[in-house]
Amino acid sequence: MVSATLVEPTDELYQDFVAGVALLEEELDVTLITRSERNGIKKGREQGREEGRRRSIMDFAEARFGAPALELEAALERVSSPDALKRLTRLAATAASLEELLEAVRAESAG
Amino acid sequence: MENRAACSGREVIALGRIRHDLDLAWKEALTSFLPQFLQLFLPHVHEDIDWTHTPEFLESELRSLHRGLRGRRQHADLVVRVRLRAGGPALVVLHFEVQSQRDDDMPVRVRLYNGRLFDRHRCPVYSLLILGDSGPGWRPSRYQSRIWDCCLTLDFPVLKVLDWKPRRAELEASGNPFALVVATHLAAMETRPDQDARVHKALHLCRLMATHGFTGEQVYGLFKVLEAMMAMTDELYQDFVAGVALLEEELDVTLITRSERNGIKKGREEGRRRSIVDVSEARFGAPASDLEAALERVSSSDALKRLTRLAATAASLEELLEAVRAESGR
Repeated sequence: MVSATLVEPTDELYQDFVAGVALLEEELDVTLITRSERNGIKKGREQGREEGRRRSIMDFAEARFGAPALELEAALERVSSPDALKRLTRLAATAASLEELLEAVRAESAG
Repeated sequence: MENRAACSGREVIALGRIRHDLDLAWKEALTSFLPQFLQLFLPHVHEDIDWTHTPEFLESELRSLHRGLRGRRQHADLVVRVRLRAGGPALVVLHFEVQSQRDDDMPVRVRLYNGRLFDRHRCPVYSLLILGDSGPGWRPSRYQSRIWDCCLTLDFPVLKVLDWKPRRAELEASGNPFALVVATHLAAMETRPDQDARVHKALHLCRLMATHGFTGEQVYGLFKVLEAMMAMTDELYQDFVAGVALLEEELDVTLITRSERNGIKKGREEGRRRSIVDVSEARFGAPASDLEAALERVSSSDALKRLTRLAATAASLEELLEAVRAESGR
């Protein structure tokens, strides 16, 4: 706390500082989360997001185009960039046909 | 000067986190290894407790005790209700305060908690102060207030971790897991987070933990305590992780792997929730803070799978939200 009054950091740094202190205060009274667990959480979060997005794309495709799209599933396995998966999730909701979606997935997995 | 300013903000945070983790580590250790702790440091207390009754950890109560006390909590504490063997009062409340920096208000604090706990439980309250600081001279063990001929004194036992420094070999050889908790605290006091020596000591302690014949659960508990007590810079932490991986292979144990796995499980749930929110936002547009809040209460992975599907197929945000609430109500 003392540091906040002694120095005049830039806005950005100050926000960072305030966020850090808030984090600490929020963490009081919680159970211990170790560094390796935190690292695991980070990894897991990414994995879960990817899984969830792939699942959603499949669900969209099945709900909209009916067919159980095994080709789609196989092509999706090769897409791992989070941004690409996000784009494809949107496309799955709006594409006019399964072919359009499949083509886009293949393009992403090749890139 | 600007650079200095940038450092001090972050350093405050980093230091705060290290201290907080150290305190939490003690709390975790006392919770996991209470009988072993008492056996090692307070055998007379251990002997009088009837261990056939499970000790009752009073965590939620502690929070309400803090209300109205000035300042942020800077120390960890633990309150446990135990039953005694025949011959004494049936119930006793054990109250542990852990303090790793000098704080001259400590006696007042012990007196306050001791009094509040007595008010609530009307049974003897045993307050123990655990001092993890590095100043050999600081050992408060009495609270006293006197006005005219009315005097109140509270004498409380103190455990100074530093006193065990000369007995390190004994601690490291002990079959009591808590001996390694204290050895770890001593090692953390002697090495700094940016010293190679810290990595070596930490790995040495990991080896002891894994080879003393403790149960898998105990080893994992000790490892968590070690990780929290022995904070390291990012660079040294990488060395530590590599060293632990070798140990895991050599001794066929899981230390970091297990901890990471736990984290991954938690993280995956979070990721799943996030993807449900993403899909919902993409389809229904509105930023769904209700949805996020309701999802926080769903942790079953099957339920999250069902909800992922529903996010893609539900006709409206309301339909999805209702389903999430139904799952979280379970």
